[in-house]
Amino acid sequence: MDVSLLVALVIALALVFDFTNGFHDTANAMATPIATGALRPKVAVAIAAVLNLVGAFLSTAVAQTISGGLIKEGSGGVQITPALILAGLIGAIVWNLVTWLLGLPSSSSHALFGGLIGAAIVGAGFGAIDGGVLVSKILIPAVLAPLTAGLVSFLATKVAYGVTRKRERDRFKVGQIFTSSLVSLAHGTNDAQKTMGVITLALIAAGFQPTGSGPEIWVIGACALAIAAGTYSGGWRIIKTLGRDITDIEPAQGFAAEAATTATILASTHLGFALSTTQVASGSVIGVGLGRKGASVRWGTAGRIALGWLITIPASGVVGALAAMLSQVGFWGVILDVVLALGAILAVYLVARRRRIEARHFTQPAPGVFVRPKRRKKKSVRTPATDSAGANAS
Amino acid sequence: MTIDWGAFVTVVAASLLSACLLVTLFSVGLRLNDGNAPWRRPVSAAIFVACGLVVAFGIYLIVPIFHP
Repeated sequence: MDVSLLVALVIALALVFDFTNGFHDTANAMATPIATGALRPKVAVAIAAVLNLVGAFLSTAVAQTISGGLIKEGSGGVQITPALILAGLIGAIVWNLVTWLLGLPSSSSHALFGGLIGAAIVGAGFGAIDGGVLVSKILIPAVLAPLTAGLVSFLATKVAYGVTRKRERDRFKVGQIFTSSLVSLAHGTNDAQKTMGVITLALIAAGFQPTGSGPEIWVIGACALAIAAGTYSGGWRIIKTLGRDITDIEPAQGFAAEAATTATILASTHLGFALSTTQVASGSVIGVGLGRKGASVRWGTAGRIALGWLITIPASGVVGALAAMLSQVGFWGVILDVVLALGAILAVYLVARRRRIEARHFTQPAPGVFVRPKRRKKKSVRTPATDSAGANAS
Repeated sequence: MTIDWGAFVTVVAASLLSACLLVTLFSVGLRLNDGNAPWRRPVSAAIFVACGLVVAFGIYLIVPIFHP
C-alpha cells in the first residue's frame, strides 16, 4: 500500500481522535462551574477551548513516544508500522465515542494506550507488551488517582465550609472561574501533545521525518485546532454526569473540587507520578460530595464510571486488535478499517441524536440560590434543579 | 513492576497542602470581606491577592517555557 496514503489516513484519524479527546475532557474542567452556575455553559466551553488552543502551543516538549515504554521498541522490539498506529487510533476513537454516548468520563489516554496495545499484540504477539509497565504505569495509578483527589477535595471542602458562613459561599463562583481555567490550561498543555506524538511517530515510521525529531509546526497547529474544536463542541453528556449525576455541587464545593484537581494534576506531573486528569477530576467530585454535610454521592453512577475505567484498556484494545487484523490483509483491509470506523462514528452520532443532551438543557441555579440538600429519607425524590437536564432531554 | 511510592506520597502531600492552602485563603478572604469593621476589607483584599499568587504559581508550573 502506498505509504503516503496510509500516513494521510493516520493523520486524519489522529485528528479525529484529538477532537474526541477534546469533547471528552471538557467536563474535567468545566463540569463543576457549569453545575454551580459560575459560568454559563457556552461561555465555559469557549474558555476551555481557547485555553486548550493556547496550551497546545505553549508546550515545547518534543514528541515523546506515545507508547511511553509500554510497547517495546528498538532493537529486538516491535517495528510499529503506520498500519498498526491506524488500528490503534480506530480502537481509541470508537471507545471514546461509546463512553461519550454513555456519558462516562473515561481517560482518553487510556483509550489510546489500549488501542495501540491491542494493535501491537496483533502485530507482534503478547511479547510486545511490557506487563510490568502496564500495571505500574496504568493500573495502579488508576486506583490511586481518584483516591488522592478524593481525599484532597474532601478536606478542602471541610475547610471551605468550616471557615465561611452560608451567605458568603455564593462568592466562591468567582474563584471557580480561575480554578477551572487552570484545569483547562493544564489539560491543553498535556493532551494535544499525545496526538502530536502519534502523528510524528507515523511520519517517522514512514520515513518522512528523521528519527528523534520533534513535531512539525503544522502538526502542532492542526492538533491544537482539533482539540479546541472538540472542546468547544462540549461533551455535554459527560458534563452532566460529572457535574450533576454524581452529587449536587454548590459553589464552595466546586471551588474545592477544582482546587483539588489542579493541585493533584500539577503535583503529579511535576513530582514524577503520572495520574490521569479524568480520574483525578472524577475523584475530586466524589470527594466534595462526601465532604459537605447533607450532600450525598450517588454510588451507582460512581460505580458505573469506575467500571468504565476498568474496561477502557481491554475494550479499546479489542477494537484496536480487530482493526489491526483487518489491516494486515493489505490495501483493502486498511480501506475497510477506515470505512468501518467512519460507520461506527456515524452510528454513534445517530444513536446520540435520539436522546440529545445539549447546552440549553443545563438550567443553572440563580445567584444566591443553592442546590438544596438532598432529602435523606426519600431517595427517589429529586430536586428540580438536579433533574432538569435529564427531564428536558427526554 | 516498580511503583515509586515515595513519589506518590510526595504527590499526595503536595496536592493536599497546595489545595488546602488555596481554599483556606479564599475562604478566609470571603469571610473577612463580609463585615463592618474597617480593617476587614483591606485584609481580605490582601488575601485575595495571595490567592492570585497561588494561581500564578500554578500557571508558572503549567507553562514549560518558564522553567526550562
